Amino acid sequence: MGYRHVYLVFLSVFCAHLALVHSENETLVLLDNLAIKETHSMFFKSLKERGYSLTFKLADDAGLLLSKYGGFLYDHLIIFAPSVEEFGGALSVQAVAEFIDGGGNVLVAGSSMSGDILRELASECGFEVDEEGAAVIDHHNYDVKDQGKHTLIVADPKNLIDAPVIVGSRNIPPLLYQGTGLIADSENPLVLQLLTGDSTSYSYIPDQPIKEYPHAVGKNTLMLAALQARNNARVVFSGALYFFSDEAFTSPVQKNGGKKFEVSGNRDVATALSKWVFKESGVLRVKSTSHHKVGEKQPPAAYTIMDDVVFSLEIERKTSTGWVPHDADDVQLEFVRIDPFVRTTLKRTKPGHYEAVFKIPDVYGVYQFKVDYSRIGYTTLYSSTQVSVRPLEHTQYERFIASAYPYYASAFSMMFGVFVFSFVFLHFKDEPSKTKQE
Amino acid sequence: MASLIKFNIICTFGLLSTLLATLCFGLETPYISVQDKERLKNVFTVGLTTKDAASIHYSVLGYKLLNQKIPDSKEICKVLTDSLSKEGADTYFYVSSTWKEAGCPGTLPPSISKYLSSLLLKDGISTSDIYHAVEGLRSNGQTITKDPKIEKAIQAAIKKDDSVSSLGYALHAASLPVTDGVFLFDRIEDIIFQADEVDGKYLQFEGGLSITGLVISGIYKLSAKVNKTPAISAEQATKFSNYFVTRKSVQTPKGAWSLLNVLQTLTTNKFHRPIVVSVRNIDSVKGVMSIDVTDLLGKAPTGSPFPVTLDSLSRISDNTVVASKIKFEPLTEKTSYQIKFPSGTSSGVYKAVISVTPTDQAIIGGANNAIEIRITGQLAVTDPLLIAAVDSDHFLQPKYNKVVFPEKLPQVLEIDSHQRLALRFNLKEKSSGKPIIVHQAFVRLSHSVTGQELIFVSEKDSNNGYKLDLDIGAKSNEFGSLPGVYNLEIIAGDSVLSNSLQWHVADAKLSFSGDAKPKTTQSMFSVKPEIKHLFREPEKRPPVFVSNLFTGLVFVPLIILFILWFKLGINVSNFSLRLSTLGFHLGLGSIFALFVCFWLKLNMFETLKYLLVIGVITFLSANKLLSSIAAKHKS
Repeated sequence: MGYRHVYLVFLSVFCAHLALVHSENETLVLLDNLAIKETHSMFFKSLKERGYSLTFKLADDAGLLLSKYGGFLYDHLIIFAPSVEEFGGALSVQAVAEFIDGGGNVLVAGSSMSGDILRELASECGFEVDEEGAAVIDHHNYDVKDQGKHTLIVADPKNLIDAPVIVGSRNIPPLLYQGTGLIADSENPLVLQLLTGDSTSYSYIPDQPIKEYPHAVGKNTLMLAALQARNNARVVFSGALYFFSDEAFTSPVQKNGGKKFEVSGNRDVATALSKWVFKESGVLRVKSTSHHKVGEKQPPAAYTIMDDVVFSLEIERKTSTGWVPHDADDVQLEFVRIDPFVRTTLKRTKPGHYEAVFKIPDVYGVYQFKVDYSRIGYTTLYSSTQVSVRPLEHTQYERFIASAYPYYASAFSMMFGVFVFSFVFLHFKDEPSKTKQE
Repeated sequence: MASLIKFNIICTFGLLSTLLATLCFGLETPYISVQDKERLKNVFTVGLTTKDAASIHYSVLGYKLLNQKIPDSKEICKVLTDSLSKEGADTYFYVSSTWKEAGCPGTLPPSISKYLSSLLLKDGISTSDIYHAVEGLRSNGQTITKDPKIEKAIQAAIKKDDSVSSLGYALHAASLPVTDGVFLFDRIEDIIFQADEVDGKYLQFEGGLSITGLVISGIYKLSAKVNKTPAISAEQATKFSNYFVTRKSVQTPKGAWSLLNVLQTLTTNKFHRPIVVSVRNIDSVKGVMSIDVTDLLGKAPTGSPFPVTLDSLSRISDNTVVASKIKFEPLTEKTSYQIKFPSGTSSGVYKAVISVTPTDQAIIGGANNAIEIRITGQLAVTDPLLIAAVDSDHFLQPKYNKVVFPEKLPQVLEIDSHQRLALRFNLKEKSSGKPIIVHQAFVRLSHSVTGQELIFVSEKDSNNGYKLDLDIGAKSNEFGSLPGVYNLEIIAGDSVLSNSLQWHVADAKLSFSGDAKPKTTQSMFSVKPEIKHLFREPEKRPPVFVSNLFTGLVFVPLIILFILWFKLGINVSNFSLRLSTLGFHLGLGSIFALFVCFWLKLNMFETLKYLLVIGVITFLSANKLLSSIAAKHKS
């Protein structure tokens, strides 16, 4: 009986432990109403198939909680609640911003009737959502299914950002979009403009005549925008919840008077986008770094100025099957003492393996080998290794300088002279013959 | 007012005037259209290939509702037989109710009926188990008779669990021949009360399509059995139908079957049969609109054609009623009706209120259907466009260049920062020739090299035309002071126009007073420029010849010394071979040799070490030698 008790205690402890350890892809999905779960079932299904554990909650649920005991309960957050006025429970724009600061990834979809809270959230992330009721309008590129306001936009995949790691291939059927326009500050380097409108598009309230300059016009009309924060947290903001719907995934696309495509490209883009935002793709890491003098194997305790040094680096990329070597031709190494003294492109020696050989500058001090690699769509790769560089020892200076030979020669001739003279001086004997002559 | 199925529609018609009528393609209908049925059939086709008894059950029943033949029954029967290994009322129900429908040969093992019968005798059985067990027994060929025990079990179950889904199954169980169903009929009002209203247009139960479908079909089934009108108002029934129709993009076999099953109930029951009015086609050229009046599955309701009237047609922008009380003429197709708009109805957005007045009271949703319709027009540019570069301080009538659509100004227009770009144009409705106001009348300037674009909104002038006056100097910031040739385009469009305009009017060469601003921020994603460290230049040294010459000269005194000594002759016969003498001279020589080594390779510490040893020997020998020499001199 005693054993059984011990066993039960052990089991319950184990279960409690299991409950605490949360799996890697815990995702909280906030919805306006539960019908969205059904109307967007294909998108959620694809997430589930890729191993995400989705927790569906209403956005105004009183029990919403993102973090507990100082840790986050979820890795990812999906907000498919365009019209929510106020988040429920402990959730607020502030809490979502903290979640992003803590490295959480967020996917947000709005609509023409986006609530103020989404607007606030968007501005935290560096975008702006056009005013309530505004929709992206394009009288030149609307779908035949459009219900008369020319707001069901047929977006050309050419207007997608040129970053296959984020949006996948651009060689896909056109995309369907129905929602509000986003505006991004083009000076903000962290915001990526994923999908923009055509020159003929604009964002305005469809039923009102244009009195003021629209907030977003032409190619400045953003439909999908993304942010990769400096801590590599990712945020994707779509102006249209419709973009991710089953209807958009399965609808045929035909631009008014244009070619008909059996199915839109939305599914491809939404899948690629969800892979990117939840860090399935575009994640890099440094596997190893090493450095040593040319011709040696081990790093020295300190380098001397003007040494030839070899720095090597291995980079890996995350895929669905594991980490694989990542190939790129533009990885740069900096040798930094406050300012970079040397910046050179690393050469790829074999897949994922990079090497640079350079001469250490003739200035001594504490340096860093620094690799700071940020490319659109990839996480920022940062590696720094500190080394000290010392000046020449007194024996390491040049010894046989041609212009100093007169000095050397005079010294040696003097020494030789002293040696011979001392011998002569000490053992000299006056000529006795001379003394006799006197 | 009865709930309305609002339905916006636009018909786009051919850009060529010779094309008189067009159809609306791919329109979202407020009923299950042929395309929707095809899509649902695909859902079932996928469902049939699964290894899951529930999916197969719903897919087979779905095929039956769509009047389709089951393609491959062999595989299905095998899956059904395999799934029998999992005991349970629902699995047995799925298998037994699907067995005959799928056309499987033979009968199911009697153990199933035994299990289901024994299940019914258990205490605390849930309503879904009751329904599945009774229905399962029935499909296994057992005769079901009225059984007060089962009625009690249902009552006990809904007392224990009064969730909507539990009640839904109770409704279905009660409508089976085991009870008379009266005991549950009064609960219908309570159940309906639990439904949530969305946007004032839809009614649904928490749990979505399947639960809502289960409850609504259960209610009508029970009402049919009891033969009394259920406690659902016509308005509520319409709102539920609206909800079901919005869910036609459902992707699971269960949801798709629920949808078709409940819509089947809503089109065939004798209490409420909602109808929907949808626009089939608007021919803006002829001014003819045709509509469809159908049930939820897109069929003609019984008793068609009905008297249909257009109660009113009013323009939304200014609320003027342009037509009222016009009767639709029925067309040959039983569902279709047609009307001709009064002549002179201009293009725009209208609200049409259409009423269908069927004789049968069970047909609901016919009154006051408000539909937003768009009568489209075509855009034409008949007047030439005027364009000029005007000096900013010059207010006289400028000399305009005329450009006729769709030509382009032959010469490049040169504009500097002290000038304005002036543009005047008119947009007309093609058929009436009247000027029209459009939503989008933009002027786009795009740089011919960088592609940088700037878009300006043109203003309306007093004659319903459009104008744009662009002070280039004041806008130089927006242009980034980037000089060059810009393409000038006019972009115009409106949602009530079937065509839109993108017209490359002219090329304008802009020049600005300031310098072009260089791009201030460098993208953090681009490759940075390489840095090569600049090593300190070694100092300049004299030529080697000079050093060598002086090296030679340095030896001259030594050579002179030897020559003189040679001439004089030196007598070193005082030398005596003793240890101290030898030690001193060898020591002194070694010290000098050590200095040479120091220069060649040794470092200071090594040198000092050797020097200490040699130095001590030399010192002692020297002391001995000198004292012996001194003693010699004295003697």
